[in-house]
Amino acid sequence: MTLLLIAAILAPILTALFAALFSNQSFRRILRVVLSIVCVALAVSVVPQLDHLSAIFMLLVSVLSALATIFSAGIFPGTDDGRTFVWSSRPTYFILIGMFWSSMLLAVTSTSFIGIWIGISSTTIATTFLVGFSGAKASLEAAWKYLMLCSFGLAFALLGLLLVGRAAIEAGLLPNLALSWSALAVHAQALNPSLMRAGLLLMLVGFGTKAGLVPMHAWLPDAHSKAPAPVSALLSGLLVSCALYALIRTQAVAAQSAPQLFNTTMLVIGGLTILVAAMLMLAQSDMKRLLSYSTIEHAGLVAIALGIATPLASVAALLHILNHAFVKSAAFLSVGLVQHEQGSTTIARWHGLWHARSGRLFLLSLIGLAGLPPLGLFLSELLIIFAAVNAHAWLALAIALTGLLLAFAALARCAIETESGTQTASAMKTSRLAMFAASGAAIGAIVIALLPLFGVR
Amino acid sequence: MVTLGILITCSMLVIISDVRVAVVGYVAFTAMIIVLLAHHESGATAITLLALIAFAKLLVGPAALVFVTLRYRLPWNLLPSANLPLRIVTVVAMAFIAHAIGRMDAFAPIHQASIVFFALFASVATVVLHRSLLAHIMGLLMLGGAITLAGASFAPSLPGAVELADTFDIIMTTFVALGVVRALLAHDPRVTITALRDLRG
Repeated sequence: MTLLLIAAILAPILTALFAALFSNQSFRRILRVVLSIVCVALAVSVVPQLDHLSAIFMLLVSVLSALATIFSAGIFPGTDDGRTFVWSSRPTYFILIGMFWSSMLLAVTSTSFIGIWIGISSTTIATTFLVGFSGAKASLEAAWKYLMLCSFGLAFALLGLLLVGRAAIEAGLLPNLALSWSALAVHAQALNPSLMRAGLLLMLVGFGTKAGLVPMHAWLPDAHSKAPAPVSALLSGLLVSCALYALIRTQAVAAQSAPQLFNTTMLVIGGLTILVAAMLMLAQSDMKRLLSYSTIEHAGLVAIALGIATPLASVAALLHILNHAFVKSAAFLSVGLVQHEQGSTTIARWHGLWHARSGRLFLLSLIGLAGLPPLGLFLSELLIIFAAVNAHAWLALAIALTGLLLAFAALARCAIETESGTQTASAMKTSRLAMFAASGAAIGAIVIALLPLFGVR
Repeated sequence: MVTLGILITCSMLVIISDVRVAVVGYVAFTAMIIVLLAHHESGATAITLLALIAFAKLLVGPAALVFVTLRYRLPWNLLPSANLPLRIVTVVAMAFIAHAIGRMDAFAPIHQASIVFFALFASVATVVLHRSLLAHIMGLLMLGGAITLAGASFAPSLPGAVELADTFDIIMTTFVALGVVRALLAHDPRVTITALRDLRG
């Protein structure tokens, strides 16, 4: 790891601590925006040192974390008039966001599975406090479930790593390379198959817990829906993506040592995930909870694509993760704007959102999540379907299509109910900075959607 | 002998309901794991890592738990959610399952694989069979111990980073969990899982 890379990883937490030193809130807000941009610039500067997958995820984490930080700095200007959300005026909130951001950077830039594990585990520490930040009973309940389930899940992942490490050492790999994902992928065929199978399955369970795959998903709808909107955007857009990144790295090793077992398990878990999540989406009355189940549904779709395991499916899975990260962040940030204006996230209380800019932005993200053009999830879902057809994975295809149709129905109903009618008058003025950040995520989603048209590979 | 000690302390943690006895059981369980770990370690770095792990797991974790119990006057009862015979039957069943797993192809060549799985199951059972959130934290601490034991048994020649990472994670998680418990006191003075069942569907 070079000094520049270490600086890029530590920059978010250090800049958050630095901004907390100043007492003037307006200055602190401007400083946070500037420092977020500096962190993104640092991340861009280290991209040439990384392999393609790590580079893509480093940029994804940096851009979306910066947008969430700018949104947090902007939406609630710190004047506590009884309706503003005081949490974002507290430096602790931004320090935790910085810690979360740095942890994710560590996970996606590490060359070893233990680094990925440490990064993903460290996110739990920051995000538990962020989920329970409001101190409300429901938020604390969500934080507790999140902490317990993810801690146990990650412990199983670590156990899996130990088994893989043992197999690597038995095969003669040097101890300091035993958990390197590149070394393991090269030597996987020579490793003890029984140990590798057990280890890889435990890693799948562990990282799958963090990705919200069924049946380890119970924490996700609670944590994502009870966290402040920008934190929900980070959890759904990035944390799930980082866990899927860990699964992609795990699959690269599994492809050489236990492909059939790993891919079949991914297909089963992915199918179960997409069906359970899509059905539960139909029953939701809270917008953030609906979006949380949508995250689980999309994670299931990625798991199916990874389970199909053809080159086309792998590209589709990666494209889907990128598209989903931007669209879901835009969705949660626009929900944050609407929540700020309307004071609630109950779907039945939202009407005529079309008349407000935040409502139109929210509609755009719903269109994206439903898999409709012009946003990129349309293309990545289409690619996953093509990949399933090419691989003759008919059952996976049928399950994916059923899940997508159910999810589409849930999102279409929600869009019609919330966008039509007359808007409830709101006394709250939307912050331009927050609107800029939410729009930035939506613009990012459109840019990602357009990249394949320009032949970007 | 140490294996038997781990078996007894893990069983004790699943069965008993008094916080003080549970803390003593946890300290004994962790001390035995540290002893096992010490047999594998040599060299200054490894010994330093071991000392750090021992300090964190034997002192910091249990002390934080006792401090919070005293400071916020929490009940000394872990509130079992199943009766005593059922808890004993669970322990016996776990022992059989762990023994069976230890004999599977993948784990048969590994020294103490059964006891690692028993410790893992015991940590899960400690969480599931008690309603007090302190028992859940205790389960997390036990889980850390079980992973450290797994590190020593499954991959003794891996760098100590694994044990250190796990220790750091468990200790941090314990403090995060205690922070949540402190915040929850405003809603439920007994800090039980029964107060955390509102979010469903």
